[in-house]
Amino acid sequence: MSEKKELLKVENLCTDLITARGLYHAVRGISFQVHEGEILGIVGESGCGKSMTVKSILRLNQEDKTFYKGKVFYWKGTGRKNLLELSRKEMSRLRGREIAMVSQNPMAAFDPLYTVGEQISEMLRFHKGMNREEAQAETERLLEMVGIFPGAKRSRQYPHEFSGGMLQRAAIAMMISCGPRLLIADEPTTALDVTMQAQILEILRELKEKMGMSILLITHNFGVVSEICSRVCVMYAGQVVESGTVEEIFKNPVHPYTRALLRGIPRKGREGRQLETIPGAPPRLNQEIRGCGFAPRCPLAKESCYHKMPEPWEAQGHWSSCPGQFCQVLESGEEEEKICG
Amino acid sequence: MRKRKEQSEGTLWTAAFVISAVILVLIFAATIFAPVLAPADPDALDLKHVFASPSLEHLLGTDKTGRDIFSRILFGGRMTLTGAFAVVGISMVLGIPAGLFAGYYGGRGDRIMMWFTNVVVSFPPLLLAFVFVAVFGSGFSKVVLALGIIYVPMLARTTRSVVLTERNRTYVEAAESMGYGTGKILFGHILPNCMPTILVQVTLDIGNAILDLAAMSFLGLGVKPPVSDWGAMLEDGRVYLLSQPLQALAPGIVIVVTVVAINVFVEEIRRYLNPSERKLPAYKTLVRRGLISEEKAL
Repeated sequence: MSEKKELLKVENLCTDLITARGLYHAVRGISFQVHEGEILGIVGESGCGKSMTVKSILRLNQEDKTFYKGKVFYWKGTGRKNLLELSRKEMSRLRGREIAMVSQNPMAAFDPLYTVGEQISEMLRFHKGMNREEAQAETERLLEMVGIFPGAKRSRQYPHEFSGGMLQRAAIAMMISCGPRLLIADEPTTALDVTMQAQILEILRELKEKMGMSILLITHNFGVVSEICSRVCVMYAGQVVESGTVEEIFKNPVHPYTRALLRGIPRKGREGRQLETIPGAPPRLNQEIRGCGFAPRCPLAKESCYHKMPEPWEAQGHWSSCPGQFCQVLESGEEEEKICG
Repeated sequence: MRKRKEQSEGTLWTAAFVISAVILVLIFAATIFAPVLAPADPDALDLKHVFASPSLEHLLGTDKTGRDIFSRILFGGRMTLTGAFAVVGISMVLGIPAGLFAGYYGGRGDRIMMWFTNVVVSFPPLLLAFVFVAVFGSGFSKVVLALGIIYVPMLARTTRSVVLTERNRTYVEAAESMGYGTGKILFGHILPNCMPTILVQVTLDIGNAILDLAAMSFLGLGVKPPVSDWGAMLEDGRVYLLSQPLQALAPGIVIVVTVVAINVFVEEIRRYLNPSERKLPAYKTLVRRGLISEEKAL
């Protein structure tokens, strides 16, 4: 793991938002790294701070209403920079050119008044200083690369003339147009059907393999993670609760939350049995959480869990904020079963 | 190239657009070429022929001092149209950027602007125009300037309210994540998306400006007699509405036709600005171009 070069390193990042009902602790001390040429998945329920984390990395929150703490290092050239300390101008120079983001809702990510081609060309002309013809040719090439044919005709159409899946692919084409080193994909497959999901994942995998792009993939779908990610972070209530390689996490989940999540996935050979759900709801993030945020829902919670975080558990790149069942008697061999998401 | 564009983008050339455009061109041409077209001097008194009925000599008759109404309408359009467009132009130049910045940045500038707007909007516009004229003196250009400035807050407010909703749309966040600067996002993406609503306010303002200018003229603060303008003629003729209806009706109808034509014209442009609302070329045109085969269509 460590022989690969780091590209992005988030250290103890906290994001607090000012709201009418007080401070909202959306991200509560999160740490992870993205290495060059790997796909890192961040998984969690909705509302656990996944999108907030990536918005914080790019500093896209409303500036006068957000506080950041911690560090976000990005390696550029030989040195590294803390993104949270960059000036606004330096930050916007990184956006799109070095770090690009594909957002949750592709339908809304395009300006309805311009053709898809105009918007991709705009990006190329803005960041790469191409002229109209060069940009148009490159736009057509990019569209065909993500499987939109014929690029010339399609580039002259408006977003409302595209289907959702095509728009998502066009959005990816737009975001990779300037050759970013890190692509942040925020739930890129959520609004799509399964066939389209598979195509998008295929495109992401190709980007990684052919262009050596690093991808930070936000999702709530373990199937997607098992499909293309090499490592995965599980988030709960604004914190990372478990991280490790995909194989490790799937075969040998340690944190009770991860285990519960995995049990909630339909699996082959267990049809007809009711899926397990996690009782309760994630804690409200507008108040201080003492101890472990998952404790009220945790089957293994002890008295002490409500007051302080348990000692983290770690082994060979696999990290968990809670030793989970290693405190208890080992359960049956359930976790050996294979996931089919 | 031209043809291919129309196929996918719909067409601007609808019947409504063409008709309103032709009417507007005729009205503008008539007022611009008034010296050539007018059969009589618009200001020449002819006290022997007051209140003449329409005839070949006087197409729309004469008014209380025997002036040719048709000629006065032609010349009057110059004052009315330049005045109304100048008023709206001034309010657009000042109001749209003010609304854009207030809506996008919010904060103290926004609060000050909204406070100022509320104060201005709470007075009748004509009253404010009186104050302005009282301070800076009367005259057509000063009245136009006064009305233009008085129209600013309403337009800025309209702009601001659209910007507030547009600002939170995903494409703005996407543009930010692409590293575009504020100016590019504001004028390249947010403003064009706000234009439909702003245009509606602007067309309403043109109609209002014609009437407000008329009211000012009527009170002797705008155009000075004998120079004519449509609003002033309307007010002049109002007194004789029952005995000589044409005196008020003629300029009144011209105002209505102009305002309606402007409304339709702008509405068609507004529709064209939004790609998903564009009208398709007529069905027959599509068939003729071979884009739809008639046997296959139901």
